[in-house]
Formats: sequence, C-alpha cells, structure tokens
Amino acid sequence: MNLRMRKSLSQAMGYILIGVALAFTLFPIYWMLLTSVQPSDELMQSPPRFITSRPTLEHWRFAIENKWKYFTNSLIISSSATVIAILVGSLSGYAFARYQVGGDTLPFWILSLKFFPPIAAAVPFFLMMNKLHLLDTHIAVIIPHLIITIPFAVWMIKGFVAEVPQELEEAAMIDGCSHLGVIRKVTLPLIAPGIVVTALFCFIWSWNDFLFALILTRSHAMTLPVAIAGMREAHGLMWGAVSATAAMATLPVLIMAIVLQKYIVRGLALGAVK
Amino acid sequence: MTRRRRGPVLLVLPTMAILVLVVIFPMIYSLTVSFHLYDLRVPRHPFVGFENYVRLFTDPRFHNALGVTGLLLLGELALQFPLGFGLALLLARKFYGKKVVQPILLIPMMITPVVVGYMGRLLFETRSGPINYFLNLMGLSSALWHTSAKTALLTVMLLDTWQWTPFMMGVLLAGLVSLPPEPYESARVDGASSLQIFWYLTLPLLKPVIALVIIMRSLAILQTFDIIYVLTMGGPGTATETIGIYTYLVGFRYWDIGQASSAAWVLAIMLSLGVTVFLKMMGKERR
Repeated sequence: MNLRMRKSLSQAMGYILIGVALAFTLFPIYWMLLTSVQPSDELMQSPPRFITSRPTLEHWRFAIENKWKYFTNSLIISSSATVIAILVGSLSGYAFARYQVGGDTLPFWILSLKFFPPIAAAVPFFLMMNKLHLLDTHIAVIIPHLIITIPFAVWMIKGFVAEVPQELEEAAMIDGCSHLGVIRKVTLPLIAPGIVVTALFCFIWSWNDFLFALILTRSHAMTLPVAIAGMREAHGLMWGAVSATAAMATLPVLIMAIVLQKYIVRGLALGAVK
Repeated sequence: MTRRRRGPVLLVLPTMAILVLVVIFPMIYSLTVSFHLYDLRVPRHPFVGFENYVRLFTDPRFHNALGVTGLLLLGELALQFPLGFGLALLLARKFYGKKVVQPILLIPMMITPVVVGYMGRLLFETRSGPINYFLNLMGLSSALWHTSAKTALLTVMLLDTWQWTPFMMGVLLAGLVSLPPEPYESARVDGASSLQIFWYLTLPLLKPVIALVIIMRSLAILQTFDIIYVLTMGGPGTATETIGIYTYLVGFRYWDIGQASSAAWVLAIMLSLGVTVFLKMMGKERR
C-alpha cells in the first residue's frame, strides 16, 4: 500500500515537472506570436495582457510588405548552400563510408569544421569579397555558408551510407549490376530519406546563421535574421512588427523541425547518438 | 585495381577543393593579416610582426572578454547540464503523451538564435515584460535584467539555457535509452535502491555521452555571439562582451582588422584544443 502510494506520488510529480517544462518551452514562442497579432495600443502595457480580444494582422501585413525581400534572400542563400552541400557531400560521404578514403583523419578533420568559429572566417571573407566587389550579393553569403553545410552533409551522409549493409551492394553486383548501377538502384533509394533529412538540416543551419550575413551584406542581399537584428535600431518601439517578422523567420524552421523530430537529436549530436 | 583506387579519390575531390577554398585559404589569409597593421580606413597596411598579438594580450578589454566568456561557459553548463539530465531521466520513463511532449521540448534549439535574442528583449522587458510581472506577482521586485551590468550576463545565460537545455536533454536521453538492460535487472534482483542504481550504474555507463554533450556545448558557448548582439551588443559597458563580440567590435566598429584577425586566431586555437578532445571521444565511441 505504502509502496503503491509512493509510486503514484512520484508519477504525479513527474507529470507536474513535465507540465512545467512544457510551459517554460512554449511560453516564449506563444508570447512572440501573441505580440505579432496584438493591436499596437495593447502592446507594452503594464500589467501585460496574456490574451487578446482584438487580434489584428496589421503587423503581419507590415512584415510581409516590407521584409519579404529578406525572406526570399534567406530562401535563395539557404537553398543554394544546401544543394551544393548535398551534391558534393553525397559523393564524398559515399567514398568515406565505403572506401575509407583518407582513413580516419580526413573525415574527422571535416567533422571538426562543425566547430569552426564563423567569426574567424568572417574577417578574411569580408576582405576577399570586398576586393572581388562581391559584398552584398547572394554569392558572398552562400560561399562561407558552405563551411557550415558541407561538413555536416558529408558526415551525416557518411553515417547513412554506412548503415546500408555492404552485402546488399555485393549481391546486386554478382547479379550483374555495374558499380554505378548498384549505387543508383540499391544504395541511393535506401539512403534517400537520410539525404532529405540532411538537406533539411543544412537548410536550417544556413537559415539560422547571423554572423556571415551580418558582415557580408548591407541591404540588397540581407538575410532575414540580419533584418530582424537591424529593426531594433530602425523601429525602436515597433514590437508588433518585429514580432511578426521574427515569427515569419521562425515558421519555416518550425515546420521543418516537426518533419525532422525523429532525427533532431541525431543531427545535432552529429550522429554520435541515434 | 588502380582504377578502383582512383575512383573514390575523385569522389572526395569536389568536397576537398571547396573546403580548401573556404576554410584553409581564408585562415592563411587571416593569419597573414594578423601580422599587419590593417586599418581599413588607411590605404597602407605595414607588416608589424607580433604587435597585434601583443596589443591583444595587453588589452584589458580582451582580458574582460576572456573572463566574460569563461563565466558564461561555467554558468551555462551549471544550468543546462543538471536541467537537461533531470529532464532526460524524466522522459526516459514511460508516461502518457510522451510522443507529443518529447518533440515539443526539442523545439527551442531549432529556432534562429537572433529570434531567441529578440524573444529575450520581449520577455525581460523591464517595465511591462511578462517576467517582471510574474516576479511582482510572487511579491518580488522587478529586475533590470539585460539593462543592468549586474544582471546582463545572467540574462544571456537564462536565454541560452532556454534554447540549449533541450540539446543536453535530447542527447542524454538517447544515451539513457540505449543503455543495456541486463545490469539493471541484476541490480534490482540484488535489491539496489534507485539512488544506488543511478550512482553506480547509470552515471558510469553514461560517462562517454556526458563527456560528449559537455564538450559540444562548451565549444558552442565559447563562440556565443548572436543572442548577445541582439540583446545587449556586449553591454551595458562591457558586461556581456564575449570573445566573439569583442572580435566583431574591434574589426567592424573600430576597423582594426589586423587585431580582430589576431583575436579570431586566438579563439580558433582555443577551440581547436576542445575539438581535439571531442574527436578523440568520437573515435572511441565508434570502436
């Protein structure tokens, strides 16, 4: 009896703690979304309002009308950095997994670049792009973003290829498939979901970058995060407009995170845990 | 045989070519710049040897940046590791609604850091932000948060803890779930208490994963930039000026590119020590 009571008590405690964790996780997101649909006269009042009876889309209209350009800039830059990373990353990921090219040293060096500090590369990239007259172009941001996306893509795809049993490829080879045919007909379909997962992550890493875009763009090629950071000065008290823009930046990532939920931990731990 | 050898190397070639171009070349460039007096506003950039490094290591503001970054590292780990571990233990149990709760708790780490910084500005707003409102509700007085030198770094820590505790939780949870069940069964048969099981079984078995999350988080914390840029820009004064913010200000506010390069190199060398440890552990994990 005593044991059973203790057990259900610990269970209740567990639910309460999980409820608290959920509240802490969701409240900031809720607050931003709420601010983005609240009429301006309700914002920054004391005491704050936790719901609104007069939701408005004026801030969203402002965000879409004025910040759409930066949204598409982010879209162009992140997609490009992702496509390039997936193209070269699939080739080398396959070679690293199947032929151990460069032993352990080369893939590990590539992995270590995941921790390479952007600020260290930002300074020389600024000087180079300045000399090449490429500052404030999409290319100026896409190129350094490859530091973020390529090492990740190589390492993830290497892991996904390694999970396809080599015997499967060998069996197809005995059945008369050419090597390239095996890769196309056996390996690629099996790792296709892994490649999609990798691509979504690459997109998010590039989308979330701030430092490279901050230093290498001014206005024309500015990405959404830089635009949000800039609104602080330009629009002092436009909390609603900034919230709508920030929510606009969050939406694509949020959707992808839902798609990726099973892989989030694996992606962030670089495959160290599954 | 030789054809099979050449093929794989060709597959790796595009990746390596790009990485040499975007990593090795810029880093060598920045190393040479760090030995020059490189002010963008003047046309000539004379060679000055180690002068930039000497200036860096004698700059009290750089000492401050090292201290701030160190404090941030300790503070964030002290908050995020116990919280993340606790949540992981909680989620490792069976409960109703787990399939929905788990992905929700992982959301913060996917959100753009600049947006998180902005959320901080909303939440910690001193006059009418919800956090001060809740403090007042509990009978506590309002705090100045990021607008006071005393509490600004703490505010950064709290905000980053919101974003990155899920990472600790997720990785530790994955580690917990993959632990072998046999030792637990025999321990229970032997009548071990749950505290004993945790201390003598879970902790030692989980040690490699714990080491991994701590080093990965540390490497990221040492580079903290985005949320501080949005929240405080290193201020008030230099209260939240990390190495990353310091380097940015020196390079792109004061246009002293030479010294910024030397600071960036010092940061890169510091991080490479951590990365070496990380790679050793990844190597062990796979064997």
